Amino acid sequence: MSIWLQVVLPSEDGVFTTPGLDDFHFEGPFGDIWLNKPMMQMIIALILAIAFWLWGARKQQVVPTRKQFFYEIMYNYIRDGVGREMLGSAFRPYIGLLVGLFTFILINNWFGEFFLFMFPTFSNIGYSWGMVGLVFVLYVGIGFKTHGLHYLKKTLIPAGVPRPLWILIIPIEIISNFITRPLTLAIRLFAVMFAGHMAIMVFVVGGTYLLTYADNAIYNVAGVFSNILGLALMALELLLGFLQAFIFTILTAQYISSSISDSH
Amino acid sequence: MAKNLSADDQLVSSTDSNLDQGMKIFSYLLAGIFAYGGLGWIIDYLFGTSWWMLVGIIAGTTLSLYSIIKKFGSAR
Repeated sequence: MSIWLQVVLPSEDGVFTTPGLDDFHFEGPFGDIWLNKPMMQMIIALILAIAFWLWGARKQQVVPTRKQFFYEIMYNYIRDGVGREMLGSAFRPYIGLLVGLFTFILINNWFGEFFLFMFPTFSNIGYSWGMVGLVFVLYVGIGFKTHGLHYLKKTLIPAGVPRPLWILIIPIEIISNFITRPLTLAIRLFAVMFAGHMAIMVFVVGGTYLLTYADNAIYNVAGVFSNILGLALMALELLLGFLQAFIFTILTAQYISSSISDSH
Repeated sequence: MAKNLSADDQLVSSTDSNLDQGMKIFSYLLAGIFAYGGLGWIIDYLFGTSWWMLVGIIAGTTLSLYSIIKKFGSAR
């Protein structure tokens, strides 16, 4: 149980330890290495996302109730803002994926600000790789499914470049399409969540240390301010978590769109 | 394109595609540096030289810029 409610202690033996990478490592509470806190958060987020939309899809009516109205706003936001916008008329097969991805990532990011969790799952880079691996398989798979082997020709051979330069440009196209695009997608999600969590930890842990420092009123006052700033940072993180989930969804839609489009 | 987008929606949509275009260009730049810088590094590693990687990075950036201009630089 202590692992679940793992709290970063400001000091051991009165010596201040700066929050660092160690705070991103978790032991499994059941003696397993793999079933640790981020993994459990992932599973809980999955259940929450499924339950959220199942509950929203129950008892739909022609004249929406307040609940249904709320759900429709959210669904339409992704459908029109991401699906229709990026994929045009071909958005229909992918709308479930996009809404699901958005909800799942949003819940995971907001775990960083909620009691019991206090840890954004994607600040462990392995989970970002996992998400992006899914997106990678999807957009490459969709490309091959739509165009067959022409997909390779379509993505790798640049338009408007003279033939002798192809051999120089094609390596760039391969790396750009299959390596750096997913790489930047994963690193953006990871870096924002990691940096945000780290900043919050510095302010809260440092603030708590200063607050509980004996016989120094100035330190204690500074600790109060530091903790208030930590709270403000958490509010900022709520916004950033939303933004990252949204950007991830947009870029996923965009990758799929460039896989199914006919032109370059 | 949907016909009845409000001005607000159009604003959102243009930011979205700008974001995507920026990311694409960025990934091209990185790709050029990775591809030819990496090639240069391999040559350096094999032959014990120390300047091919630099040449590769510059050549890769140049090629990336060239293909970015070809791809995104057309007049709209």
